[in-house]
Amino acid sequence: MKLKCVILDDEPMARNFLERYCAKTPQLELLGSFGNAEEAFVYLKETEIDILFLDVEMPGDNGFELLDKLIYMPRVILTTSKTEYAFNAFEYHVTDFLKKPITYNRFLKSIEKAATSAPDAATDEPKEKDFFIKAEGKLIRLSYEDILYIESVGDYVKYFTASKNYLTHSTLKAVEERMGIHQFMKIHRSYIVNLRKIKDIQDNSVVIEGKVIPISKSLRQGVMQKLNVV
Amino acid sequence: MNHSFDPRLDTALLEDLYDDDAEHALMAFNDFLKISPALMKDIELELANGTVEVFRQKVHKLKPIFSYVGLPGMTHTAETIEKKCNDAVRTDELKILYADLKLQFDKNYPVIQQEAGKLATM
Repeated sequence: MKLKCVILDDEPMARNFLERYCAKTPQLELLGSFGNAEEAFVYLKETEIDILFLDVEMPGDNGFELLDKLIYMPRVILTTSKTEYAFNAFEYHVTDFLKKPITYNRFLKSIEKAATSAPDAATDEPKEKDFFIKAEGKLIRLSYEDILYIESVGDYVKYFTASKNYLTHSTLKAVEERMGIHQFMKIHRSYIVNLRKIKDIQDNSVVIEGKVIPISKSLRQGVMQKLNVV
Repeated sequence: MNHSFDPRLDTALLEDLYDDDAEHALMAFNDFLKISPALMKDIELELANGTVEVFRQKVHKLKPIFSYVGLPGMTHTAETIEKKCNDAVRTDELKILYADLKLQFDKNYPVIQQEAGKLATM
């Protein structure tokens, strides 16, 4: 079976190289080639792939920010001209790291590596259990299960866990896109909550670890349905 | 590939990149000729405006392009400029480094034109 792949690189010559290499590699089926992370994300939200050739430094979202948003993790081959990203590559469990300019022989080795690395087991549950956020000047791994709720604070969002809170530059919309498939739901314009952590539901609010969080009138019906309130 | 690249270029790198695919080499050389002058001008403008971070990002994008046409020395120069931007050096120092890159570009661009011409006749 062919490995379905997608290219994301804002630099046209780099894309041309990878497209050409994909075309002459019988194991690969190139499904798409994108010049920016936003377009790629729209596609990847709908289509599950095997391999993502990913540039890191791009205008708008960078490659790692795109990975943060994805609800599944394809095998990622980073394509960059900057070796400084090697540490992040390790942190994100990427399959391989190709430094530009990329030769076909090196590309093939990378494909062999990707072909033999086992993808996550298929389940109905979301595959990844945690993700990274940028906070306190570093990348911090957060487990979905540990998050109580997320609050929007201006241009930032704050992740609340039982032991600590983390402030990171993002929007509630981006968080919702990434976490919607998990046990999370937006219940107010400023709050996304972990539905499994709700202890009490009052008329217009929920309680999580003692914190009373309001439910928007417009979102109330959806929240009640999702919580199976009869 | 039945083509000998110009010795002023890094022929070993070009052989590695294009193997026996002259059509691919021609495409890359033509792409370079088409896009690099505008990119260089763009970078020069950002430097003149003093927008160092945008300048750095554009140098970063331009950096591997030189290697695609057998000019890894220029990639190295671009890499030095990019690193200097991160070190927050003065714009004057960046201008000197950029002038060196521009000099190399002006010297090598006709070589790439010639090479593309030779590849087109294959």
